[in-house]
Amino acid sequence: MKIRAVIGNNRKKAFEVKTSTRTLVFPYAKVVPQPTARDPLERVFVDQELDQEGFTYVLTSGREGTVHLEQVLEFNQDPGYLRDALLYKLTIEAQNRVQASPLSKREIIRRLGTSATQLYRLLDQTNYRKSIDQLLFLLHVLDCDVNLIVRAHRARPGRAA
Amino acid sequence: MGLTGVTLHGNHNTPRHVHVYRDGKFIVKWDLENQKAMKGQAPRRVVKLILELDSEGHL
Repeated sequence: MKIRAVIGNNRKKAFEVKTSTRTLVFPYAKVVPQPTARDPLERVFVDQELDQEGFTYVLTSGREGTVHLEQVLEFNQDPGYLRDALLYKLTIEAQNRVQASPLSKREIIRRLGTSATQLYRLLDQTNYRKSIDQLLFLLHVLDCDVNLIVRAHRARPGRAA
Repeated sequence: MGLTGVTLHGNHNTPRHVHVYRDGKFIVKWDLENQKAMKGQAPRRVVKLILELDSEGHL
Protein backbone atom coordinates (compact mmCIF):
# COMPACT_ATOMS: atom_id res chain seq x y z
CA MET A 1 0.00 0.00 0.00
CA LYS A 2 1.30 3.46 -0.91
CA ILE A 3 0.44 6.93 0.30
CA ARG A 4 -1.12 9.02 -2.46
CA ALA A 5 -1.35 12.30 -0.55
CA VAL A 6 -1.07 13.73 2.94
CA ILE A 7 -2.26 16.97 4.49
CA GLY A 8 -2.14 18.47 7.95
CA ASN A 9 -5.55 19.37 9.34
CA ASN A 10 -4.90 21.88 12.12
CA ARG A 11 -8.57 22.03 13.09
CA LYS A 12 -8.68 18.27 13.71
CA LYS A 13 -5.08 18.32 14.96
CA ALA A 14 -4.35 15.34 12.76
CA PHE A 15 -2.70 14.32 9.52
CA GLU A 16 -5.03 13.05 6.82
CA VAL A 17 -3.36 10.29 4.85
CA LYS A 18 -4.86 9.28 1.52
CA THR A 19 -4.10 5.79 0.19
CA SER A 20 -5.45 4.11 -2.93
CA THR A 21 -8.46 2.81 -1.02
CA ARG A 22 -9.23 5.18 1.85
CA THR A 23 -8.31 8.25 3.84
CA LEU A 24 -6.90 7.62 7.30
CA VAL A 25 -6.25 10.03 10.14
CA PHE A 26 -3.21 10.14 12.38
CA PRO A 27 -3.32 12.56 15.33
CA TYR A 28 -0.59 15.13 15.92
CA ALA A 29 -0.51 13.81 19.47
CA LYS A 30 1.07 10.58 18.20
CA VAL A 31 4.13 12.17 16.60
CA VAL A 32 7.41 13.56 17.88
CA PRO A 33 8.05 16.45 17.45
CA GLN A 34 4.43 17.42 17.80
CA PRO A 35 2.91 20.36 15.86
CA THR A 36 1.58 22.90 18.36
CA ALA A 37 0.18 26.43 18.29
CA ARG A 38 3.66 27.76 19.15
CA ASP A 39 5.41 25.52 16.62
CA PRO A 40 2.88 24.76 13.91
CA LEU A 41 3.15 22.55 10.88
CA GLU A 42 5.05 24.28 8.06
CA ARG A 43 4.77 21.55 5.43
CA VAL A 44 4.11 17.86 5.03
CA PHE A 45 4.89 15.63 2.06
CA VAL A 46 4.82 12.01 0.94
CA ASP A 47 8.38 10.78 1.39
CA GLN A 48 9.78 9.40 -1.87
CA GLU A 49 12.82 8.05 -0.02
CA LEU A 50 10.41 5.67 1.73
CA ASP A 51 8.89 4.42 -1.52
CA GLN A 52 5.72 6.41 -0.71
CA GLU A 53 5.24 4.28 2.42
CA GLY A 54 5.73 7.20 4.77
CA PHE A 55 5.47 10.95 5.08
CA THR A 56 7.71 13.64 6.49
CA TYR A 57 6.59 16.88 8.11
CA VAL A 58 8.45 20.05 9.00
CA LEU A 59 7.51 22.46 11.78
CA THR A 60 8.02 26.24 11.69
CA SER A 61 11.05 25.85 13.99
CA GLY A 62 12.67 23.61 11.37
CA ARG A 63 12.27 20.46 13.45
CA GLU A 64 11.00 17.53 11.42
CA GLY A 65 9.64 14.05 11.85
CA THR A 66 8.74 11.03 9.76
CA VAL A 67 5.73 8.75 10.07
CA HIS A 68 5.54 5.33 8.45
CA LEU A 69 2.27 4.15 6.91
CA GLU A 70 2.30 1.15 9.27
CA GLN A 71 1.95 3.49 12.25
CA VAL A 72 -1.12 4.97 10.58
CA LEU A 73 -2.59 1.53 9.79
CA GLU A 74 -1.89 0.38 13.35
CA PHE A 75 -3.60 3.43 14.84
CA ASN A 76 -6.63 2.90 12.59
CA GLN A 77 -6.66 -0.84 13.36
CA ASP A 78 -6.63 -1.67 9.64
CA PRO A 79 -7.93 -5.26 9.22
CA GLY A 80 -5.39 -6.17 6.52
CA TYR A 81 -2.52 -4.91 8.64
CA LEU A 82 -3.78 -6.74 11.74
CA ARG A 83 -4.25 -9.96 9.76
CA ASP A 84 -0.68 -9.85 8.45
CA ALA A 85 0.65 -9.12 11.95
CA LEU A 86 -1.24 -12.11 13.37
CA LEU A 87 -0.06 -14.32 10.51
CA TYR A 88 3.55 -13.32 11.17
CA LYS A 89 3.27 -14.02 14.91
CA LEU A 90 1.69 -17.44 14.29
CA THR A 91 4.37 -18.30 11.70
CA ILE A 92 7.24 -17.46 14.07
CA GLU A 93 5.55 -19.55 16.75
CA ALA A 94 5.08 -22.45 14.28
CA GLN A 95 8.76 -22.25 13.28
CA ASN A 96 9.80 -22.46 16.94
CA ARG A 97 7.39 -25.33 17.59
CA VAL A 98 8.60 -27.28 14.54
CA GLN A 99 12.18 -26.79 15.75
CA ALA A 100 11.32 -28.07 19.23
CA SER A 101 8.98 -30.85 18.12
CA PRO A 102 10.04 -34.49 18.45
CA LEU A 103 8.19 -35.10 15.17
CA SER A 104 10.26 -35.25 12.00
CA LYS A 105 9.39 -32.91 9.14
CA ARG A 106 8.30 -35.97 7.14
CA GLU A 107 5.89 -36.96 9.91
CA ILE A 108 4.50 -33.42 10.18
CA ILE A 109 3.94 -33.39 6.42
CA ARG A 110 2.21 -36.78 6.64
CA ARG A 111 -0.10 -35.61 9.46
CA LEU A 112 -0.90 -32.41 7.57
CA GLY A 113 -1.72 -34.49 4.53
CA THR A 114 0.23 -32.10 2.36
CA SER A 115 3.51 -31.72 0.49
CA ALA A 116 6.94 -30.57 1.66
CA THR A 117 6.54 -27.49 -0.53
CA GLN A 118 3.32 -26.59 1.25
CA LEU A 119 4.92 -27.02 4.70
CA TYR A 120 7.82 -24.73 3.75
CA ARG A 121 5.32 -22.23 2.36
CA LEU A 122 3.53 -22.28 5.72
CA LEU A 123 6.81 -21.82 7.59
CA ASP A 124 7.95 -18.92 5.40
CA GLN A 125 7.40 -15.83 7.57
CA THR A 126 7.58 -13.53 4.53
CA ASN A 127 4.66 -15.28 2.86
CA TYR A 128 1.42 -13.45 3.69
CA ARG A 129 -0.67 -15.29 1.10
CA LYS A 130 -1.25 -18.37 3.24
CA SER A 131 -4.36 -18.61 5.37
CA ILE A 132 -4.58 -18.43 9.15
CA ASP A 133 -6.55 -21.70 9.29
CA GLN A 134 -3.69 -23.55 7.55
CA LEU A 135 -1.32 -22.29 10.24
CA LEU A 136 -3.76 -23.22 12.98
CA PHE A 137 -3.92 -26.74 11.55
CA LEU A 138 -0.11 -26.94 11.55
CA LEU A 139 -0.02 -25.82 15.20
CA HIS A 140 -2.69 -28.42 15.99
CA VAL A 141 -0.52 -31.11 14.36
CA LEU A 142 2.33 -29.87 16.55
CA ASP A 143 0.13 -30.52 19.57
CA CYS A 144 -0.46 -26.85 20.39
CA ASP A 145 -3.60 -25.09 21.56
CA VAL A 146 -4.13 -21.59 20.18
CA ASN A 147 -6.21 -19.26 22.33
CA LEU A 148 -7.58 -16.09 20.84
CA ILE A 149 -8.06 -13.24 23.31
CA VAL A 150 -10.54 -10.51 22.42
CA ARG A 151 -10.14 -7.31 24.43
CA ALA A 152 -12.13 -4.10 24.50
CA HIS A 153 -10.34 -1.05 23.09
CA ARG A 154 -8.93 1.48 25.46
CA ALA A 155 -10.66 4.84 25.03
CA ARG A 156 -9.08 6.99 22.32
CA PRO A 157 -9.50 10.71 21.70
CA GLY A 158 -12.12 11.32 19.05
CA ARG A 159 -13.47 7.80 19.23
CA ALA A 160 -16.34 6.34 21.22
CA ALA A 161 -15.02 4.09 23.99
CA MET B 1 25.02 2.49 -0.04
CA GLY B 2 22.17 5.11 -0.06
CA LEU B 3 20.07 3.31 2.53
CA THR B 4 17.17 4.83 4.47
CA GLY B 5 15.63 3.11 7.47
CA VAL B 6 12.58 3.68 9.64
CA THR B 7 12.52 1.85 12.96
CA LEU B 8 9.18 1.09 14.54
CA HIS B 9 8.77 0.15 18.19
CA GLY B 10 7.23 -3.19 18.94
CA ASN B 11 3.84 -3.63 20.55
CA HIS B 12 1.35 -6.41 21.08
CA ASN B 13 0.80 -6.62 17.29
CA THR B 14 4.31 -6.53 15.90
CA PRO B 15 7.88 -6.95 17.15
CA ARG B 16 10.35 -4.06 17.01
CA HIS B 17 11.41 -3.80 13.39
CA VAL B 18 13.03 -1.61 10.76
CA HIS B 19 11.95 -0.82 7.20
CA VAL B 20 14.94 -0.43 4.88
CA TYR B 21 14.90 1.40 1.54
CA ARG B 22 17.61 1.92 -1.03
CA ASP B 23 17.32 4.88 -3.40
CA GLY B 24 13.61 5.17 -2.70
CA LYS B 25 12.84 1.47 -3.22
CA PHE B 26 11.77 -0.92 -0.49
CA ILE B 27 14.31 -3.65 0.33
CA VAL B 28 13.30 -5.36 3.54
CA LYS B 29 11.22 -5.14 6.70
CA TRP B 30 13.49 -6.67 9.33
CA ASP B 31 12.38 -8.11 12.68
CA LEU B 32 14.93 -6.87 15.24
CA GLU B 33 13.65 -9.20 17.96
CA ASN B 34 13.74 -12.47 16.01
CA GLN B 35 16.41 -11.39 13.49
CA LYS B 36 14.32 -12.42 10.49
CA ALA B 37 12.97 -10.75 7.38
CA MET B 38 9.27 -9.97 7.80
CA LYS B 39 8.86 -8.88 4.20
CA GLY B 40 11.26 -8.82 1.27
CA GLN B 41 14.78 -10.19 1.25
CA ALA B 42 17.82 -8.57 2.77
CA PRO B 43 21.23 -8.83 1.12
CA ARG B 44 23.83 -10.13 3.58
CA ARG B 45 25.64 -6.79 3.84
CA VAL B 46 22.35 -5.03 4.67
CA VAL B 47 21.67 -7.55 7.44
CA LYS B 48 25.20 -7.01 8.74
CA LEU B 49 24.65 -3.26 8.77
CA ILE B 50 21.30 -3.61 10.57
CA LEU B 51 22.86 -5.86 13.23
CA GLU B 52 25.75 -3.43 13.73
CA LEU B 53 23.48 -0.39 14.03
CA ASP B 54 21.16 -2.25 16.41
CA SER B 55 23.99 -3.45 18.64
CA GLU B 56 25.30 0.14 18.80
CA GLY B 57 21.83 1.34 19.86
CA HIS B 58 21.18 3.40 16.74
CA LEU B 59 17.93 1.65 15.84
